Amino acid sequence: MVRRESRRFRILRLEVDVSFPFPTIIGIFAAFIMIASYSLLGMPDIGLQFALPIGSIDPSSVGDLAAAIRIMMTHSIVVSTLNLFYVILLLVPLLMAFNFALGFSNGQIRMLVSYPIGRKRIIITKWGLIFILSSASVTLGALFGLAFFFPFTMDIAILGQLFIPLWINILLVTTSCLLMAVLFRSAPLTAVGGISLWLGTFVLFTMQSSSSFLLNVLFPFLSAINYLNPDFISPISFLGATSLSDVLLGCGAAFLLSVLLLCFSVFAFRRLEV
Amino acid sequence: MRLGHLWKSLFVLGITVIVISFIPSSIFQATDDLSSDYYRGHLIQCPEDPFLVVTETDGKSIALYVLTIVESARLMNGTPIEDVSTVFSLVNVSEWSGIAHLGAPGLYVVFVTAVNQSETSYCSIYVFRSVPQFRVLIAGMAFLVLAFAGYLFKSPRIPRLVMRHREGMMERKETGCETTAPS
Repeated sequence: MVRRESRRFRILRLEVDVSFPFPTIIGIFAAFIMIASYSLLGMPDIGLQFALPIGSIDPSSVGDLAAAIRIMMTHSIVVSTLNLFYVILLLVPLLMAFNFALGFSNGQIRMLVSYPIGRKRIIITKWGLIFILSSASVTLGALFGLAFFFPFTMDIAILGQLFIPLWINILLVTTSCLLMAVLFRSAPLTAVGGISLWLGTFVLFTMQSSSSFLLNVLFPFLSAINYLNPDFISPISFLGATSLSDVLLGCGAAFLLSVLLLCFSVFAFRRLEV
Repeated sequence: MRLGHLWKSLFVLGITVIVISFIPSSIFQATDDLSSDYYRGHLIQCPEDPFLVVTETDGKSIALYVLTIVESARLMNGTPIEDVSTVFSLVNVSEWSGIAHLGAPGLYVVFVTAVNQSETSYCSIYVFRSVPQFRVLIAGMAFLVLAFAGYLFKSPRIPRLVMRHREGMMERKETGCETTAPS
């Protein structure tokens, strides 16, 4: 049993050793921790100030304070993760280009398919590792930054509401870049195509004055931020109101779209002449 | 992950965290017009004891109190400032700078008021993080100590040739084909 399991994970270990030699993964983690910490420390204060008449009861001030505390907690988590999300939009197409698409031109894919390993297993291992690496980097980077600088702002409910859409969003970005890599079979095309597609749609949607269904599907993370409404100046703060059902619908649709794209990528890769 | 990689990873993390602890930044800054009729309150988040600079523009006396959230709520519910436990306070000062010892990281409210009645004061407050941030620095040092300890006390490396010989012996035992050297 143990032997069979070790065989199952042998390809994963091989992929880690070949595509991500030792300092790569810890280097990426360290970079994400630095970015999250810089974001948190450079975060402007939310500017809550109030005048409290001396010796009088002011229940509105208590309400304001409670609201400001919640805003501050949300703000800390949003600022750290949002800046890492920009990095992810650049990093995932590059990782997919240089760890998968480049394999078509340098013979790595040809060598892998010549071994008795299924093509489905090869593509899913490569895609899965990139997805796990990027989502784990964002999560660990943000959690490290928050734990070091604002341990009191780590609200599990807010973390869950932001991290789950974030992981689904990374899943969608990774899968779309995988499909590009399979179709183009070229590292520069995958890198340029993936970066311009995701950054382009990001800029396009954040220039809109209202929230749309397509925005919720392509960027469920942004709609989750919009739903939490941290009330701070950012490119997405002026979007229209987003309800919880919009976020859930967007997450579900993005997940389904990712699964569809993955199935299509596997289908295309199995019929590919390498 | 190989054990040698774990120590090196801890070393990289330690260096990262130590670099982070030296990032300077300001927490909060504001200029208020004050009166003795009310408190001006500001919500701030402090990871550690901050460096505080308070200046009254015309040299008039002001009072500054730093309160926890719970005590701030008590103050807002009408409890006089004398009955509220303050974390840090400055009374009758016109200019002050130094480290405010808050004790623990958290969310705090800074309340400022003028001391003399019928006089309006203008006060500037700057709150900076003290660098290096000792909690973060200690965490980084702990990572480095672990990394060095692991590196120093790791098991002695078996020479590669011996490893190869052992692997060859194991393989021959598994396959059952003992080869004999030609005589």
